[in-house]
Amino acid sequence: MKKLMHMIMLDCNEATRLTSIKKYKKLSLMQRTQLSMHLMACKFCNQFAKFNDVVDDLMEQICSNSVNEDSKLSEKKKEELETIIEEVNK
Amino acid sequence: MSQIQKHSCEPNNWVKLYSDQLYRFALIRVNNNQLAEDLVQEAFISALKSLPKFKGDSSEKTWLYTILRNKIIDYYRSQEKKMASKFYDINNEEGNDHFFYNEGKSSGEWVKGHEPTNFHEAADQPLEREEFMRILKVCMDLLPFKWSEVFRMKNLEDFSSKEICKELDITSSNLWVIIHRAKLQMRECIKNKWEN
Ligand SMILES: [Zn+2]
Repeated sequence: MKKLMHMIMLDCNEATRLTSIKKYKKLSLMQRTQLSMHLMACKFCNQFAKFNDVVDDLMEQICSNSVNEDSKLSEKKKEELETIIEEVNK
Repeated sequence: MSQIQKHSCEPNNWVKLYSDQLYRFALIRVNNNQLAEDLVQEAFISALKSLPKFKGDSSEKTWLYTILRNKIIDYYRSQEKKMASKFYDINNEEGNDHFFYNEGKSSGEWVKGHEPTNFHEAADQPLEREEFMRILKVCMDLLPFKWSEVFRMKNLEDFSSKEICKELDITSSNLWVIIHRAKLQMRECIKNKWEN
């Protein structure tokens, strides 16, 4: 019985691994079941899962805020670069 | 006899054709205007110096991107050396021993003192959200380049995991390991900075 439980129950290392990657990889039904069982029983991994959701959301925001289609190199820098290229490429 | 079409290289057109694209590419990855400008400049200078080595096997655009990417990686390497002491075992290949016991009765369980707490709830408080974001950015920048690149490629350009692996030259099981470790390390980093 104990052996069986061990096969079904994830340890915290594996539970946090599945939590971390679930945005990137579709988990199997078995994995999803195992994970939700673990999260119900383990308050630490449950906290980690909440942290993970917060961070996944915020990272998406940070990445899309950091740059947009209109971000352009300044004209001043472009002139500098033109000069450099001219100089080196003589 | 027909010759194989080789790509040509016209440095005089670089600024006009590629500088904005290259700049955005760098900006996405370093989050800092000045630094992104400098990296583009360095990439152009390197490219000019190695112009004789340009064989025309790839287009000049691809070639410039490769050079810029290497400049960015160099930048992060130099930062990592500076940061290494501040950020716990960033290059540790051993696994997650820092976070989980790896043997004995408690194998796979959280190491005492590293169990997750609810500090992230601050991100839901309007007043604290900004500070939380700021720290998250800092901690993201502290990750090794390849690791944070995974998140940028996913969140910004919506690459599939297959494409990410190809681009970063890693296997998919490596990708899952990287994401797992990155999340664990970021939690540790944010928590430390948040509580101090
Ligand atoms: Zn657990």
